[in-house]
Amino acid sequence: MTARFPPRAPDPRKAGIGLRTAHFEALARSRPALSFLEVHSENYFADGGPSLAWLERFRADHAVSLHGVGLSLGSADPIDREHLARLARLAGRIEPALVSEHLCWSSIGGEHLSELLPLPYSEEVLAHVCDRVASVQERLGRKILVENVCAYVRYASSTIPEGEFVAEVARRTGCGVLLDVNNAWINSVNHGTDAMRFIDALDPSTVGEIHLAGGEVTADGLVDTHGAPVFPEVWALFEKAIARLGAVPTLVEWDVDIPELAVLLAEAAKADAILASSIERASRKAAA
Amino acid sequence: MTVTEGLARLQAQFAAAVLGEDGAGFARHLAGDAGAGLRRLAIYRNAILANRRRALRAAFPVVARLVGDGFFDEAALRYGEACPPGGADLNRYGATFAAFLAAYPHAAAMPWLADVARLEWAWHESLAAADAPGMDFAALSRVPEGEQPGLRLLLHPSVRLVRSAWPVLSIWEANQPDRDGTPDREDGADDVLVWREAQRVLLARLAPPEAAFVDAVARGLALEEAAGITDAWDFTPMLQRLALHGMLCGFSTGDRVPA
Amino acid sequence: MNPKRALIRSALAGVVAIGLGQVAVSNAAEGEPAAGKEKCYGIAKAGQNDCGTATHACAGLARKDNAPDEWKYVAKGTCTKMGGKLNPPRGK
Repeated sequence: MTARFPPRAPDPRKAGIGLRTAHFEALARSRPALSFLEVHSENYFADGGPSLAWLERFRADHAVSLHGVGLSLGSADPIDREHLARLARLAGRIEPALVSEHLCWSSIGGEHLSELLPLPYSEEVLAHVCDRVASVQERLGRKILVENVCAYVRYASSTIPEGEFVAEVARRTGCGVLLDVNNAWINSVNHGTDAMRFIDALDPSTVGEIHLAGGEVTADGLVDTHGAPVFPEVWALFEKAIARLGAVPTLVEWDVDIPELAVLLAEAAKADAILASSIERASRKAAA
Repeated sequence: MTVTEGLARLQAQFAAAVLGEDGAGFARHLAGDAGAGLRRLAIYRNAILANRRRALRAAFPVVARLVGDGFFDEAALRYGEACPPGGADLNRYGATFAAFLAAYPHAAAMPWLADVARLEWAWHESLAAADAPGMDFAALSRVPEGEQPGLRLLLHPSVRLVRSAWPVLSIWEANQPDRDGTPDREDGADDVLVWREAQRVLLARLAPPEAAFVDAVARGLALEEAAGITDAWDFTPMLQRLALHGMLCGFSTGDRVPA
Repeated sequence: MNPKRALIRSALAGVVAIGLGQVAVSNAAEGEPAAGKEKCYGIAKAGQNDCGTATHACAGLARKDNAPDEWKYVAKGTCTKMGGKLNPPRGK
């Protein structure tokens, strides 16, 4: 198939932003320099119409990341082949730089729960998830990234620490990892674990993208709302993460109560500054 | 027990605990403090219901405005129980919401509500319908006169016809964000043509013979049959209107179904 | 030629004249998204799936009982204004 768009890759030294309908006009007018734009894949599953026309227009200027919320990689239900076919069609049309999904489940018995639900981390589930990641990669004809999710509950049947589980999925299937630093932080606070131990378990060469986001403090623990500025502790953890992983394309997620484009760009600029100082430290270290 | 059987059982129990009544029974599957675990399960329940509700609100803004928040949220909850999403894409959730409202006892006093929902779903579908190349008018001009009565016209994938015994278009228009909710008509039927033009969804009220003609074309009837749907009525202006607004995108002659 | 066939012939001739640009035509259905033609980009709905990766923080608000407050079944929107006024359809 001949390419319809110039090949573009995210700049690991720069953050990207989520592309949201509310910002279409402003982005088209101001055309800021951005590492990449990320969309929720399912929002562009339409057969035609303005959503796709807009996305194609932005794709001409930017690298695009397709971030799926619905493939249900860890479900006991069979993979939804129609959903996967729509994802493949979109990827063929947009030529994205990155395609990612979540390490979670969301459908059972044909009913979709519209939420990223946690998996038990056991050898059996690991094998099941790896089979499915491999089959998705085969169908799409490309590598995908899998993201660690926020788990508000943990299972008694889990036997593998989350970091090792994620790392093993990548090792066995050749997929990459989308490290969500906010999810790692929230899980560590809610369950009294060590977020850096989770990150240390990952093979740096497999981490293809980082997510940051804001959340909310509630009586039942931290909740990943994507509707607030990034927690200071998450910025600090991000800094430690890239000190270990090197600069990685980074995205600040903001999905509800979406602010003005300028607020989003300011959060991205904060990530840029941390990425830049990390790169500088690394090069000083190399020179010394 | 195979891996997927064990996982399927756990996931089915999770779903039942979160959406059904048996929350406490799931505690044995959770690690750590059971009380905290069960309270956090409610986070999932809340998120799932909120995501479904938001999706319906986005697809049915006029219905939501007509009935108000409390009523809409309750109807959304009951609809989710009766017809949970069968796919992961929430943009396609709500196809049967109009049918649900038609049978919803608490909406019985608003017999037009389900038809308003049908119109909103038609709008929603039209926006996301496939793009299609325009009609090849040069080829159309070469169809021999003898074959013209047998012509079948193909409508653009975004075209929908919503026929209602109620003034649904007036209600829809009155409940757009810049209007105060008072419809300009309070009785009479509305046949509404829905289509996408220059990436916008447009609506137009059709006269009864116009609607009958469009319906006949949409059903794939030959032009001669479609034109004969209503006697002594000239379909020319309606046909030209379809052409003018890009609603014709192909044709076939003879018995072949247009492709 | 019978009158209906004559009508079909003349109607098609009119449609072809519109389609071939011999009659002024409004924008085509697919409005070319060329640079500088902002108006061709119409309304794209906000994506329903955007909430899929976020989680609502108000856990305590979820209701599980089957006996909700009665007020939830009473329409409180603009329909109350026109509820009694809309007339039943004629002939149905």
